Amino acid sequence: MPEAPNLIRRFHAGESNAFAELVSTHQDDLYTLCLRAVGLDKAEALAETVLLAAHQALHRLDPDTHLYNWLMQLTVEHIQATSPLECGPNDGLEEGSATIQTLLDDLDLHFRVAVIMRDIIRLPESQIAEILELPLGTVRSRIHRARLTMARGIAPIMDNV
Amino acid sequence: MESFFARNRLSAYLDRTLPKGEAEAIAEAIARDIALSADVQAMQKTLSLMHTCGRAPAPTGFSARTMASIATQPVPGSQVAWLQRRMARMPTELLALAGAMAVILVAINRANDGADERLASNETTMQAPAVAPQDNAKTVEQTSDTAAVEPPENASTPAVKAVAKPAKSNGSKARTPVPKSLPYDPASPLSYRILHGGDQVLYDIAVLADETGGRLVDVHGKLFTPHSLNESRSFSQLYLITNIDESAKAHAMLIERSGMEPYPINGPQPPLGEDETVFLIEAQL
Repeated sequence: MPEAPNLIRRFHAGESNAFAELVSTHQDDLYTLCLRAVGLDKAEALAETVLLAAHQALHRLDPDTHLYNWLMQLTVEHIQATSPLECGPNDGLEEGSATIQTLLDDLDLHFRVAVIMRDIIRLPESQIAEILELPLGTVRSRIHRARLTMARGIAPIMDNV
Repeated sequence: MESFFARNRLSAYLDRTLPKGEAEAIAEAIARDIALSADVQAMQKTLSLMHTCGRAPAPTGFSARTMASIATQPVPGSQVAWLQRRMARMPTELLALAGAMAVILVAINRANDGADERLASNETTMQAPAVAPQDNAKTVEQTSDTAAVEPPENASTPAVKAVAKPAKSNGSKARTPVPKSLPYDPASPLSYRILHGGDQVLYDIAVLADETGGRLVDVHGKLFTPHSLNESRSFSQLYLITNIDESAKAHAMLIERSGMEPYPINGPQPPLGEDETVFLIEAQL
């Protein structure tokens, strides 16, 4: 994800469109993480809540902070705070997408977030480790376990389809 | 390689991040073990589906709706940024005029101080001879030269001091610096008055709030927006809420900025969270 190095400084300087630029730059990844983590019916509201929180906190953010990682961290925190974490129906999704969503819904949240970042948003493992503030080995382990669990769950679903 | 170990390396194998030798060993294990081979195929299918799904674009209008929601939110603790923007918009001439006014006010203030001091010294010199004869009748009989050179003991000197002290203290009462080490108790919130400074007052208060990690609110606890301060009123009350850990620092900074002794808050206070305390700031803008 390309990082806008001056976006935080521009926001601090009071540039009116800096936050709008932040939203348009990062909204897809942020929404994707919300969608896959909490389901279609809650995703948009959650993504909006995350951005409102970001707007309230951005003025205190160190200008040298990696903005994308910070936003993803904030999103993960909000996902974890969505309790109880029950995904809604996946009726609005396409077939393949709904299949993936069903498999993701069965995962523990830690594994779910890691595999979404790795295989759907396609972030490098090292960046996921930075976002989740975990050792690289832990992140790899979570991704692997998530993939294996999903792989074992996909056969029955595909048979039913 | 045993199937158990090979299975644990499947993700890395499919990501092609394994060294060549290890990848070949896993490929052999997959060829040998049907269950492992099934896992690989299922995992490949899962990965393929996830990669195909990819990022989901945010719904149409999401950005606009989010920005509209943000517009209804209070200014996010950015009193400093707001003031910086506001001051940046001020015409240079207006700033120059404000500067000139400040210089004139300082000059007038200093002139008044000089007059006070002269008045005090005049009172001292005028009252000293009047008191001395009352205390010692000898001075009436002395010549003026003798009285000037050798004032009677225990008479004129203490009398002059007695008159001079109150005159001096009356003249400088408002300028007495308030000690910064006043006893402060977070459980007894205080009110601080800041009378001079114009826009700088707002700026100083905002910086103070930032430095103590506090927030500025109105009496209902609603986040303070600088816009509401000086549009219609020239004298405003706002509340600084800080964590108790930062309260002593905030108190010291407010004392320093105010230059006046704080007094207890008599009236309503905004709702406080756990481990929070409040300061009332009355600012002349």
